[in-house]
Amino acid sequence: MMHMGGCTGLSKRKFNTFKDVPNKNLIEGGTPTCPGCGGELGLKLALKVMGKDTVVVNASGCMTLLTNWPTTPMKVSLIHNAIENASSTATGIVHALKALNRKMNVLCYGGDGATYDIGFQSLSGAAARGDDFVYVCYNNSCYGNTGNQWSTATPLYARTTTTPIGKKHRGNPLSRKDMAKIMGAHGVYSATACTAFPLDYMRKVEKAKKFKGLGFIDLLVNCPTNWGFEARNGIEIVKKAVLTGIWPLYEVEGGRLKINYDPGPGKFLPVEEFLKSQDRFKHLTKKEIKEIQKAVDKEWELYRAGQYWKTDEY
Amino acid sequence: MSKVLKYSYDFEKGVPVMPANASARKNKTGTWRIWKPEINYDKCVKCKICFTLCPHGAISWKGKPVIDYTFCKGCLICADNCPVKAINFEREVK
Repeated sequence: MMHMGGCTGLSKRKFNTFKDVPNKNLIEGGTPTCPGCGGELGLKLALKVMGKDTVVVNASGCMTLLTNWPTTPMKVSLIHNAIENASSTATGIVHALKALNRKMNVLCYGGDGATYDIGFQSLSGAAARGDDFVYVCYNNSCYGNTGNQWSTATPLYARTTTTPIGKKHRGNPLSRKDMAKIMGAHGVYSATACTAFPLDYMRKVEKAKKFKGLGFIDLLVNCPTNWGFEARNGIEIVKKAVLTGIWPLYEVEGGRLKINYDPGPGKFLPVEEFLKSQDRFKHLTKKEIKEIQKAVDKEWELYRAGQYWKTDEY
Repeated sequence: MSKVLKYSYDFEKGVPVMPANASARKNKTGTWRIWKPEINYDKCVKCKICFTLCPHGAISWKGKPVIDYTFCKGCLICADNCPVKAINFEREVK
């Protein structure tokens, strides 16, 4: 599926410092999201890059709450649709705009449930067809809007309401799947990002926007309500996910992997620092933490050896 | 309900007309606040980090960061991420 060609016009780095962040917000106050919501921050930053001529396609999820009729916080168009067909709707909009001869960007914004699980077939189809839009998955590692259910983005041993803690159950028994690699295998631009590194994220949205074909970004966001921490620590916690190596920052262009952040062997923080900061990992024993640390270390060994497709995701 | 009737309804298309005009500004989410952040402009280095990281569009940029207390939900992400600790916070008094 390498027929879409490489990225063009990527040499210019637009967002080098925080001073380059546009002053205008395209999403304004009065939203009904939880205080400290990472998903809304991701949408706000993505819209700063996408610009005013954008259609936002919203898969059902937390961001459905934004436009409670008759009010909307948006200054750009937004269309709601069911959880499974956000990418199909975006495909339709891309082709309609082409027929009307109008130059507009399409941004698809869906949660991890809508991307990893339910909306995967429509997203995969859109990537294979080479439809030109940006898909940002705001990944809070659970079905947050319906009350913290398990999704395939949930990490190992995390507590959710469908993977509870008891004598026999120790939270989620499965490790998460790596969506950015799956999308990278389609031959499209695919990247992981994190709200704690907003400039890196905005640069990646810029690349995805310029890429001819689907640009996919898997964005790790904090979720104070379901992860269980003080809202003010949100950015610090997702930053720790990157600094401990649990959430690798990389991008895949034309089947080649580029690691964005790697301090070197043995220089990552211990994973305990990330796990102990949240209630959903409160039950972990020392043995389980060691197991996670081992999995993360092994993954990074494979990354450094260039064995990209063999990595076993934590 | 009188407020709802202000919005027109497109009977041909069968959809309510809802222009993208940031009309959610009617919802005063500032009433949710427990902690109130305040910027100390003497210390502020105008790095734009609080403006970038505010999730709710409550900080606007007018040459310096300005907090709009009508919408600030008091998550204190700005205070936690300020590199020079120029944002103080105290218990909200109503």
